[in-house]
Amino acid sequence: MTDAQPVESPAVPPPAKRQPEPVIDIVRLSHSFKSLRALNKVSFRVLQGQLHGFVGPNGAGKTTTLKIVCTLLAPQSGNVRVFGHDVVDQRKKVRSRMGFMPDEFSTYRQMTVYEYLDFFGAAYGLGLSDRNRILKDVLSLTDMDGRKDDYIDGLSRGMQQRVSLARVLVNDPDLLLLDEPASGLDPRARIELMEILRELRMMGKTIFISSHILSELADLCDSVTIIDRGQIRYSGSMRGLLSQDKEHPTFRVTPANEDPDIEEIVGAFTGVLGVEQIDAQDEYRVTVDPQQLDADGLLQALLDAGISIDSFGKERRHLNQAFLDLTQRGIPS
Amino acid sequence: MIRGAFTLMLRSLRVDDRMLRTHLFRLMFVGLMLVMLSSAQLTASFMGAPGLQFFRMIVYLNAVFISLAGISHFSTPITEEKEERTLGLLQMADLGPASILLGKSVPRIVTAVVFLSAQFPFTLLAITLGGVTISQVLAAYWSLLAHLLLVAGLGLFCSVVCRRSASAAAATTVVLIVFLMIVPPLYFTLGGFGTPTGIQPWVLALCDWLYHASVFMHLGTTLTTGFAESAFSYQVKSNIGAALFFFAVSWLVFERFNGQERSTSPTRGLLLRRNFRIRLLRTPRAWSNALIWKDFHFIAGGPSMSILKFLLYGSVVAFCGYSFFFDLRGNFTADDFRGFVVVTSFMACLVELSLFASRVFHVEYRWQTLPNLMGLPRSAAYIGYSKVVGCMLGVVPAATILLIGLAVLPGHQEIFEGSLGFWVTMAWFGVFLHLISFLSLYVKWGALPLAIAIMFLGYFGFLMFSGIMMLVFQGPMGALSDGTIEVVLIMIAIALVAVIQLATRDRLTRLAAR
Repeated sequence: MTDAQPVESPAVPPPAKRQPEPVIDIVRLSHSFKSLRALNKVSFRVLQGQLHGFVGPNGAGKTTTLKIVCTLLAPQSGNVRVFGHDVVDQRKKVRSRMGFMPDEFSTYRQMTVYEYLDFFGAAYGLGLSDRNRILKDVLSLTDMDGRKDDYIDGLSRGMQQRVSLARVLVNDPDLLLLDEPASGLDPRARIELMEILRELRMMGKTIFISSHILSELADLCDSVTIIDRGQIRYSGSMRGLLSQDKEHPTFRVTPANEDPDIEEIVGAFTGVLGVEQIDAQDEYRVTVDPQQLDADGLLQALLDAGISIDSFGKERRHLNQAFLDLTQRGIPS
Repeated sequence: MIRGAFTLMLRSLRVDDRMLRTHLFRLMFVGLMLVMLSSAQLTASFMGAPGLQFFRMIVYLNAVFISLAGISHFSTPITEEKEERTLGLLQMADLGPASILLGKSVPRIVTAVVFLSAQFPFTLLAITLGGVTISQVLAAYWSLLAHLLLVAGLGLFCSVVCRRSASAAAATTVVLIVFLMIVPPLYFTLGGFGTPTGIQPWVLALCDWLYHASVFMHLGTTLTTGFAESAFSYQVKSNIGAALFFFAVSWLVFERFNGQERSTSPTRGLLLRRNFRIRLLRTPRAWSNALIWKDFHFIAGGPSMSILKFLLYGSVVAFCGYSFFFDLRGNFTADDFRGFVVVTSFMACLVELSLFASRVFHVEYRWQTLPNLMGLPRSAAYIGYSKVVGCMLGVVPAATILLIGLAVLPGHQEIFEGSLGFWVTMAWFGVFLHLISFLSLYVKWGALPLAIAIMFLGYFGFLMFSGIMMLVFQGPMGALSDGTIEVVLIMIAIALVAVIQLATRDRLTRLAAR
């Protein structure tokens, strides 16, 4: 699916169930700004109804990709389709089905919240009765009913971000493109924003979100694309990324009884590369060579050595770690 | 204080030095001078004192440019820091008001003085062409320098007092218009009333003081044959004195107006909320063409502003009509009144259109709202024209007075019907409006004066070019009579409008994607 072969490739073929339609389909997209190559043959898909995270360091090409998808920037090469429509030739059709929230607070600050949303509702061609209904829903969803007559300029950053999100929703789009929606927000505002996004996903919206706040994306997203220096490092399900084996798998072991020699005993097993105690607790992290030892073998070896086990499990990667691994080591071969 | 001011000055001068456009502008002006010089040389055979003609053009052009710079270059040094929210940081860096004022204003003055000095050697050539003396050249340049300092001082004061660059530029413009354009005719009008009574002597004395402090009046005196006065005239002394006064007042009130950080977001003006008691004055719901609604209300001021403008223009007309009907001075005629109504309302339309052109796209660029706007499922043309229509609704009060003037007071329709010259002017005014809105997508502030300067230079260039052509080809331009030249000029203007529209669309799209 992508040039960067990041894509999870399941060992067992999936059951023959119908794949959701791709809402965003990007094929070999390239774009440069003068001598800087912002995107280099980028390919990935965002499937219908998914909350898809788009992660990458600063200058990786996230905003450029988003601006091309939302039709504000024409791609120099490659093909981008949204709901099957080409972003260059069928721009109006694409725009009418999506809402884009840019990373900066770009609102008309002298308007009240209601005037602002009403203006965009009318700009999308909604009649008065439709606007009345949608604005009521949108204000309720973003919890802005009580502030609808406030001037935008007087609102806090978190509130202004809610207004921006409400604006994206006024034309009832099927696809939401959100560029760093949580940047600069305090923890409470971030949590509330994520709650709103969850609700929107439950309403069947497809959400494509670019963010730096990885921990929240890991909990929120169904799928993720990691981009670095204009190239895709991974694109696929979040679960796939987090459970993807590292070169040397790691297991967490908690012995039932305290044994001062445990590090020495386990370190002597064939295939064990390292043992370390986690933060002076009774838990150990054991790294193994997958060619010589797997999970069953390690568990058996522990039991054979007379070590009673309280808990045993494979250590899952955090999105932070996956992000660092993928963006530091370059494209996997 | 000196160290802080010096650091700021050095930074500003370095930034100015790195900007290509400032060097290009100086070069363009020197180039224009060379064209003028060539024209003076060519006309020397049949025109007396070509040096004086050449020098007169140069100094008046400079005076106009300096006054225009007051609207943008000199009126934003402090407001731009307020808008970038960096003024507080400067104050926290232990820079006092005097350091900030000096550090921000002196580099701008230096830039303008460099602009004047770059052309000074060329103007000395006017002496060799004849008709002007070295004392006239020196007196004229002292006069320009004093005017420059006055405009810089005034701009600095407005920049200290106002929250936003737009308001500072507007305040500077109003004061300069009153000083340079309203006082001289007022002075002559009041002077012609006979023995002054009541407050009239005071007003007359003030007008006298202001009239003689005006650079344009003084240049008129300087450029008369036989000028032999001191270069340090009343105008020079009064202008420098006023500049120092403005600086001192700016220093004194700096803390009062800038001690606390205040919002620099655009204000609503006379727009009232949806829940205001008087229904008629409430801001209505968005219209089906939301862009027209937005720009009519949030750029042109909406119905309340329209009513206010209608009342204002109406009272000016009513006052004039009262003067006419009661024949207060015995000088007004019915024809004068008709002419006044039509010309004043027509001028008001043109001024308002120019102001709206400078804001129609600039506000979206300035407040970074273009991505949202250009992301609407509409074409760029639809968005652009809708915005223009919204702003044009703001001209309805002045246009209504104009139409009433034309309908009720017949006899002036020939202005609009009669000559092709009128339509040439209108076509080029269209170019001017397009140029303003296009430039407003490049410069932070001052698209309007920049467009005036470019049109002015273009007009001078055209005059020079056509003059040279007439001399070289011994009058073939005369053969192109019967409106051919006018039609060609209209066609060129239409082509330019089309080109600027395409360039504006391209620029808007690029800015939205930035």
